Amino acid sequence: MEFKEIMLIILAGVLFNNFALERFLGVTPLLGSRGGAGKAARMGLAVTIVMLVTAALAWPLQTLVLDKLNLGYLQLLAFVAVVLAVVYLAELIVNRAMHGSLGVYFPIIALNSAVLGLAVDNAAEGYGFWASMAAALGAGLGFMLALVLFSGVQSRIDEKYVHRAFRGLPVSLLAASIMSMVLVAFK
Amino acid sequence: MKDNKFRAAIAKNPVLALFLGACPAMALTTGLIPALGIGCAALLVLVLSAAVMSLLGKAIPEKARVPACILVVAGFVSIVQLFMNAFLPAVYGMMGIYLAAAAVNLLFFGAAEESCGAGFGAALGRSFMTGLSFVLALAVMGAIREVFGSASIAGVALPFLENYKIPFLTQSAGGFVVFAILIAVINCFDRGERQAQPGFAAAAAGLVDAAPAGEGE
Amino acid sequence: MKKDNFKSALALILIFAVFALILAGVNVFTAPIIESNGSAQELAPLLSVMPEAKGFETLYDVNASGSTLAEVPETVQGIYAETSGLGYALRLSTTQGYTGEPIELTMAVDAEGKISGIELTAYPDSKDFGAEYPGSFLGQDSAMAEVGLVAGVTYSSKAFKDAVSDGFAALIANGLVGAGVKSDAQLLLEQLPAVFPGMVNAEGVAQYEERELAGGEFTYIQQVMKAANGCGFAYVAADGDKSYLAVCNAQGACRVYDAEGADVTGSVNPSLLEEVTADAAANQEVFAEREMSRLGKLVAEGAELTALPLDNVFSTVTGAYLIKDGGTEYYGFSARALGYSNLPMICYFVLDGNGAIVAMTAEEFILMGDYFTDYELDEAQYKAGFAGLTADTWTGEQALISGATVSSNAVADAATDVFDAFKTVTENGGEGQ
Repeated sequence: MEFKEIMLIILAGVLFNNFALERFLGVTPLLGSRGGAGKAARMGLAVTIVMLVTAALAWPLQTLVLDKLNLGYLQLLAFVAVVLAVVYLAELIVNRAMHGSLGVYFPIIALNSAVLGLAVDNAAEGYGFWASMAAALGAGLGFMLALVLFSGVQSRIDEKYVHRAFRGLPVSLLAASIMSMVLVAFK
Repeated sequence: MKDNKFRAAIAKNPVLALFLGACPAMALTTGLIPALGIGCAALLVLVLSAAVMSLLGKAIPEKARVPACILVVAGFVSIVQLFMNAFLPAVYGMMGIYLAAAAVNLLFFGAAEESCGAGFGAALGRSFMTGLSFVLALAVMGAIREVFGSASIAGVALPFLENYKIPFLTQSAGGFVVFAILIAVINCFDRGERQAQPGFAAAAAGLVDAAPAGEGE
Repeated sequence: MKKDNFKSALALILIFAVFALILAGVNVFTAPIIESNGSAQELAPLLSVMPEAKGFETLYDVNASGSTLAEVPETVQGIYAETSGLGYALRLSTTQGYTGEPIELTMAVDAEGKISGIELTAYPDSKDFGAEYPGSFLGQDSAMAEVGLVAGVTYSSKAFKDAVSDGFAALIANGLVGAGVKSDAQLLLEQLPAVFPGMVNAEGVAQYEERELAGGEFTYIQQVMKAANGCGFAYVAADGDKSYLAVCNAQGACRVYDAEGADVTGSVNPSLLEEVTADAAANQEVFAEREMSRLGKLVAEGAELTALPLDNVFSTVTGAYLIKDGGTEYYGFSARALGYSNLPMICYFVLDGNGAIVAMTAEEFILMGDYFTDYELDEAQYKAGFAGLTADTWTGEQALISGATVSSNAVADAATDVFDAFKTVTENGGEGQ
């Protein structure tokens, strides 16, 4: 795969095809996260790592097993198993290594549509190994970007008075919609 | 009685009050048909997963509960996928990636987890109501976005609205907005009974506490 | 602890295994349905042009190998044989349209080699040729005798027509259908670019307006075509069972050609020739006054102009004059080449006795830049660039302006025709013939 194409895939994941703000994958953790940019960045990092590992494992699974043996219908189940395994292992390793500073996010990540969505997407697009990794990197970075930006916006919102009806979710959603519109400009 | 159930459907609506299943709610409500498609599929998966988990729940050790729920949901989603692809290929095409993403969606996971070890009947009833409320919420969103966004309903064009349509509503950003407004409307009704909070926060908090027990030490 | 771990793992594996089995079972049931759904989708466009089809067998697919067909043009994406002998369906895609993006179509050809169904499936160009255009192909065989192009959308409609041609070519080359028979009129009109180059635009397509004829208006004339640039007329005429192509230039000189392309002006029925000449004379716009005025001004006030006959000239040149200014003799020519959007670019050239350009001008330098932008032309400089050029030094490129190629090509064509006309006129002794 050409370098340019790889860069394009990464860029697409971050900007035009932003998983959280454009495709709504992983939007729940996005809107629910509170705790500032630092936390957001760490969570984004965790997601990116999980995505990379998942993509790395999902690709051989898809091409060498599922496609070869015509087991396409097992794809979802298999990928979910992979994500669970990755998250479990990641938590084991990271918790041992960093004593839980990132570890607390991992269960949430298991339930993040973005990771699974990425794996399914890669398979659907028929990406090769490096393209899959590039897509994972792009999606992860995009998610991290969305998280960090959003945490900034969120802290601003929290400082202001918001009408009762819009308090909490609705105003966050509106903020997200503006961010989404910005990204559309990149399309 | 009916009033209670109806109020529950709105006040405790999984999508609008608890923010569960937000992902398909915004992604697949660009039209009434995809909304109903994912809604009905969701209903099926919810009920089936709840049923299974209520029966198996006790047999599964505490640690494995979370992944077990996820796997069960994923399994049923896969089955529904195959059937939809075979019998409703047009609708299946509209689902995109979101039916698959449902496997790890908190809406389904939440229902499955709740049913772990709960009574069979109760589990069925609860999940059915959740599913129904989900369909309702999505149908409303889908109808609004389609009628005002593309001047059609369920694919049937509405020529008299053609000049007034707002295509923004069918875009991603529009999805956020419509969702926000719907929730705000519900909040108005609620009269302070319960503010819309990301329901996941509760689930995640539960999750985070359960993490040491769920996924390993 | 350990037991718990073991139990957990076991539980998870069991769940996975059970579902995998269930899925395998469901898959056995649903897979064939899904597959037939998929192929139904692929076949949908084919069925759309051939609704009575029972089924299709793929004879050729551009994305697959192993086809037994040969000589399949690039535009053909797929050839399918209808299983009960109704004919063939083809999918085509051409990038020869105006924008270069693919124009896609599906066509059905019955066993007699006639188009039984045709549908446009993808069209990216901004100007469309109307919903009736594909319909005009129905019933046509490979000769497509009655199908023309759509004015104003010539590139795209030509692309469409060429794609259909390719479809036929593929079928005929492989002996699947027989070639259509061209009508006489078609064969004759194919000669037009060769015998009347003045009517033809840069792509080699004759540009004309066909006049609607009332029944019984003419004895011999069947079709009347007026050149889009006013250079003259073309006629399809028949005398008994023989058909002819007659062309008349702006000065009324006419030539007649038969279906084999031979010049039969001398031997054809005189009444036919008379009818044609009369009609041309009656309907031809006379440019002489304007031409003389413009050319005269290019030389000097009070110059004397004498018209020169252009009996053998069927190019874009519509007028030739001998210009006397005092003692010097010049030759003036007026040419109407087809330029941008097929608008005639009326140019005037004055050559000296040796054939070198002395001056040139145009009615209006309709030099639209390519892609609809206006082009700022330094007219004086452009015109000056022609001075001194002779037939020998003329390459055509002196007229070209990059960025306004279609229009400047017209000027180039005009100049080329003028040099040729000069040669013809002076070879004939200059005055009279």
